[in-house]
Amino acid sequence: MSHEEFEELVSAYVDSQVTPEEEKAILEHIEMCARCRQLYEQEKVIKEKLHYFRETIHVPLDLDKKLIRSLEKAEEK
Amino acid sequence: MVNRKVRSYTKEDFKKVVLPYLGYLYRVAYCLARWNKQDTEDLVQDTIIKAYKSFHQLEDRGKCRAWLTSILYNTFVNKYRKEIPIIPLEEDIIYEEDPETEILRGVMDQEVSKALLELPEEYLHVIILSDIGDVSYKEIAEILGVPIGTVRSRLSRGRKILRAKLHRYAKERGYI
Repeated sequence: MSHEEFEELVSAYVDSQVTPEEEKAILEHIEMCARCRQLYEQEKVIKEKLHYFRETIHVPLDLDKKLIRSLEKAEEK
Repeated sequence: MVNRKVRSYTKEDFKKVVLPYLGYLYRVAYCLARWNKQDTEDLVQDTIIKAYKSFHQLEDRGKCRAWLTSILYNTFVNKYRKEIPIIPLEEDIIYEEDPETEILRGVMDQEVSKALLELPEEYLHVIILSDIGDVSYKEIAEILGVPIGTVRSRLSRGRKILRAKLHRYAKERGYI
C-alpha cells in the first residue's frame, strides 16, 4: 500500500468503514510506516475534536415542548 | 371518530419514536444552518412536521435516525441553504503536513468551529453527517445521492483540509 492509498483510506478506517481486506492492508502498512502512523493518530484526534465540538452545541431545554405545540398547530390546519 | 382515534394513537407513537432524536437533529441542523439558531429551530420544526406527515412511510423503525436525517437534509437543501461567499481554498494548505500531533490536541473548540465554517460545502456536509451525525457512509451516500466512493474521498479530503487549518491556527496563536 502506498502513502497515497493510505491517506485515502485512513478516514474510513478511523470511522470503521473499511472492508476486512482493507483493514489488513492498513494494519500492515501502519506497522512499517511511521509517517502514516502519525497520520492515523492525527486523524483520530480530528475526529475527537469534532466530537468535543458537537458537545458544545446546546440544545434548547424547551425544544420538545415547542415542537409538540407546532405539531398540534400543523394538525389543526 | 374512528379516524381521530387512529390519528391520536399515531401521534403518541410518533412522539415516542421520534422525540428521542430531537437533540441529535438539532445538532446536525445547527451545523447545516451554519450556527444560525433561528434557522436551526425552524429547520428542526419543518423536519418534525414533515416526518409526522409521512410517518406511515417509515417501515423499519430501527432506521428512524437515518430517515429523519434524510428529511432534515432535504428540507435544508430545499429551503434553508443560503448562498454563502465561497472562501477560496488555499490549494497549498492541503500539501502542508505537520508532524506535531500534540499541536492538534491543543486546538480549541472555537478553532474547530472557525475551520468548519471555512470548509467548502461539499466537504462540510459529509463531515457534519459523519462526525456530528454519526451517519454511516452508506447512509450518507443515499442522503446525498452520490456513490460511497465519493463520500469516502470527500471525507478524506475534508478532514485533511481541516487538519491543515487547525495546525495553522494553533501556530498563529503561538501554541508552539
